[in-house]
Amino acid sequence: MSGLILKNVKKSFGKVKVIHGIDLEVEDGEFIVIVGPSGCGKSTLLRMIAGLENVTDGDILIDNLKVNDKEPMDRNIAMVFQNYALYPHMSVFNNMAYGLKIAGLPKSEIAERVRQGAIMLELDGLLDRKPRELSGGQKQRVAMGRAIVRQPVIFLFDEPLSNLDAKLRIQMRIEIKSLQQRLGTTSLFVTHDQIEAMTLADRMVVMNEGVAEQIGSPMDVFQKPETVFAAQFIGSPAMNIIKAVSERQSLKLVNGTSLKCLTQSNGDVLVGLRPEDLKPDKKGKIVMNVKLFEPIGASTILHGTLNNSDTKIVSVVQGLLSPKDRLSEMSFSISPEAIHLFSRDTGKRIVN
Amino acid sequence: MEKRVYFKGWFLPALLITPQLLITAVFFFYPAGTAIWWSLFNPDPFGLSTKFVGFANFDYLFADSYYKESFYTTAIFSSLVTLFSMGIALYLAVLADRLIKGAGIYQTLLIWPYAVAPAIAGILWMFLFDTQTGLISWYLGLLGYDWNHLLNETEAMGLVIVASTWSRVSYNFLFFLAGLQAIPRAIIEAAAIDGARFWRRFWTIIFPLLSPTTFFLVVMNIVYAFFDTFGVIHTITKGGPGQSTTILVYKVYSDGFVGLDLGSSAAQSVILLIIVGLLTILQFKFVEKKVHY
Amino acid sequence: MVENRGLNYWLTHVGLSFGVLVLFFPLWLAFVASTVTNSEVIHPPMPLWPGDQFFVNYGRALIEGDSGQTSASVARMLLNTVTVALGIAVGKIVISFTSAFAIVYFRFPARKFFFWIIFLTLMLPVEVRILPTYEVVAGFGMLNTYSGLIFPLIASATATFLFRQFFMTVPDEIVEAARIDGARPMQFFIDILIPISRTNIAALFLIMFIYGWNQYLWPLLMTTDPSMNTIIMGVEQMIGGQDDVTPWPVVMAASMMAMLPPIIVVISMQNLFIRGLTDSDK
Repeated sequence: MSGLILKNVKKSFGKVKVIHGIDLEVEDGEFIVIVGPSGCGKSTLLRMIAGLENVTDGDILIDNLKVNDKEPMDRNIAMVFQNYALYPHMSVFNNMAYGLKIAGLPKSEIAERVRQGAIMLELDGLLDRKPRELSGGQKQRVAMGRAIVRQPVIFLFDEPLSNLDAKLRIQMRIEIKSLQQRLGTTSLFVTHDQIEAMTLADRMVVMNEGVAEQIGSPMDVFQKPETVFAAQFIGSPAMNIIKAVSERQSLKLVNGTSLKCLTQSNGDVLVGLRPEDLKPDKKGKIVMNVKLFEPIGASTILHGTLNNSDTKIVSVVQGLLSPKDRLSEMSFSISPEAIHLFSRDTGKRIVN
Repeated sequence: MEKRVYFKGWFLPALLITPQLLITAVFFFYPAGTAIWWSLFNPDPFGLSTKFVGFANFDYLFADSYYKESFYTTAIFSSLVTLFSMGIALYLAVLADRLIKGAGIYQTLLIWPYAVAPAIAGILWMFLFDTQTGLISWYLGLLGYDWNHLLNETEAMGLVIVASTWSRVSYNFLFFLAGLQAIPRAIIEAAAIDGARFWRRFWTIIFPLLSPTTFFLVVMNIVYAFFDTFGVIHTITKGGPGQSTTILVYKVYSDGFVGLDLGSSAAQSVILLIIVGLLTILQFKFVEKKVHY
Repeated sequence: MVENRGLNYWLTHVGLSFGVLVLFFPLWLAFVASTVTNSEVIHPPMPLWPGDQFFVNYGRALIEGDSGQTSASVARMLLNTVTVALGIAVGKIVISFTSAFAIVYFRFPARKFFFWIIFLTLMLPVEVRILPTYEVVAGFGMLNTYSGLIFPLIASATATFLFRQFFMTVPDEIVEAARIDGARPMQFFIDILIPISRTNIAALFLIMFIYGWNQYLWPLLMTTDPSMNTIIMGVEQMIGGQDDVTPWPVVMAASMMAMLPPIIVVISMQNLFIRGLTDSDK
């Protein structure tokens, strides 16, 4: 049983193709995060599932029913918008109840559902207020409340946290996650924020230019990125990508440094090194000309270039470096398991 | 500009748009088309037959010294009304904007003439300047000036300009005040700290920033002076003495309804239509620009 | 704001007060003239302070008009004017609101065409096409009727344009949320679009009401029957020609009654009114 299935879903606006064919099967109760840079098509994909955009090609199935041509309200979904999209002239109660009224539910049931939703979201004292009398976080809760009371098969979230300040965003993120776990409702959550993606997702879809670069659990994507794009998009600071030539298990980086790795390949490759996998080591082979030290509390970010090249690299070192440790040239080593290899032609991960 | 989301179907929108479409078709496009049609004909005085005359009505108009004079009259009249009503309004708005408290009270005291119909404005001013009973003309008489706008063309023009200006100042004042209040205070404060005195600040900072409002108002006031002032002129001078206050719209009326010269009146309507059309295009070009401003 | 100090402060007030007084002067004299006897007016200089004929003049104007020579009683004319002004305001708002809704929120064949058709009417006042419009109205037998006074004046797109501008500023997400909530187009229209537009509707109503109230040329042509006169043109009709004696106090009483309703409306709702007016700037 599967809540949502996408089969080779495509979208074009006129001649411009924005989504090139996405396949996805979402398990019941799963929390899927669609993450990617702006303009990658993630919101369009969500809006197609909601029924706000037409599907150019492919099928969308909800509860095993093809819904391509169904109106949003007939799809059993609910959506939370980035700017909340609360009806400004309606009270919180009416905002939450509007969909139920249209569906023709009896008054007593509407009142009961709204009451329960309000308690769940700690909105019970605010039901008579108008949206303009609410704080950003409260508006966000009302938007979620409006989704919850409909008791949909799927929740759709379109960057719901990006209008909140940093502190509130983290708090709401936690609330959304625990609410979803409590309700067990299948959820799709669109964001450009990789931390939101990592923390919320059961599985995530990394999208770029209308293509799903990788679909997998956050740890999968982080540990075994399938493409250069996924590798660089997930993780902060982003993974270092260095041109190299490989011969079996030995690599020759663009600056001439030789490294050993576990993956076999021959020819032109891209080497991916996570900044936090670069360990300071006086005998290390990777030498960095450091341009800038950025202490961020528990650790320090080092920006610089690979020596004898202009390839930029970044590393993260635990702790605050004392001034005498801040050398303009630092050496690092990396364990062979932590080296990622990508094809220079296709950008795909090389595995054997 | 388009909405990203929309509803489907054609029947409902067609139904929703029909009333407006019908009314504009019957009461706008049909008459406007008829005006264009008539402008190409010369109906005989008995209304029994009409003769197609091409652009003869227009040729005749442009050769007609009365019509040319009316053009000239309109140009003088509308530029002076625009100039005076905007100048006075800007002056008052600048003063009101300088007040931290009390701008609202002055706004209330200055806004009401907008609600007075131009025709009533005409009656009020005619009453003040009535050649026999008017208070102002009586005082002018005491000073040895014999006011008679029924005979003196310049005085007639002056009076319709005063009345039209009076009834327009409020509108311009409101827009200028809104425009002034929309200028960020920090800019003006920065100029003051740079050492600019008030009038220097005004001409170098405030007036340029106000230019979108000013431009909008110029167009709106020209349109006002072209059409809405009909009431002023009809109540005060009826276009006279002679033709001295016969602006274009008044001539359309008097040639059409009084003179019953349909062809000529229609040709005049078409010319007015073109003038306003051009003004509208100008306005829209400007609106588009303002979006980026 | 850079503060005014000392002399400047007082000069500002003096300048503004002078402007207020100049604007106010004709209104004051009209009021004075409406409270004195005719002989006080026609033997200059007329008084500058109100007399004791207020009730006489207003009563006469309200009930008799100019004694039935060329115009109806002011009471009758006020009734006509209110009817016409309300008809214009309501009519224009209804047709403009619905057509702007159709144009903005639907995609249908020839939508662009209708859009331009309606927008061609922008700013072309009735004066420009006055003769043919008269023929049309006469052809429908609508001379001397309320509908004849109303319809030609609502045949323009200014309000449609303003509503369209406003609808464009309504976030798309509101419509999307409504669609997800299952709202059909007309449910969205009634439950959401009208309530969130109510300030704009009210502002436009005020502007249209005053526009309708102050119409002059069109009623002048249209109403040959004095009982259909509107107040603005009716006042003018009460003024005699050069040979007749004009009953100035009664005319001025009628003028006051023609002016005061729109003045009161504008002043008492000035914020709404100014907002509606300056919004048309966009």
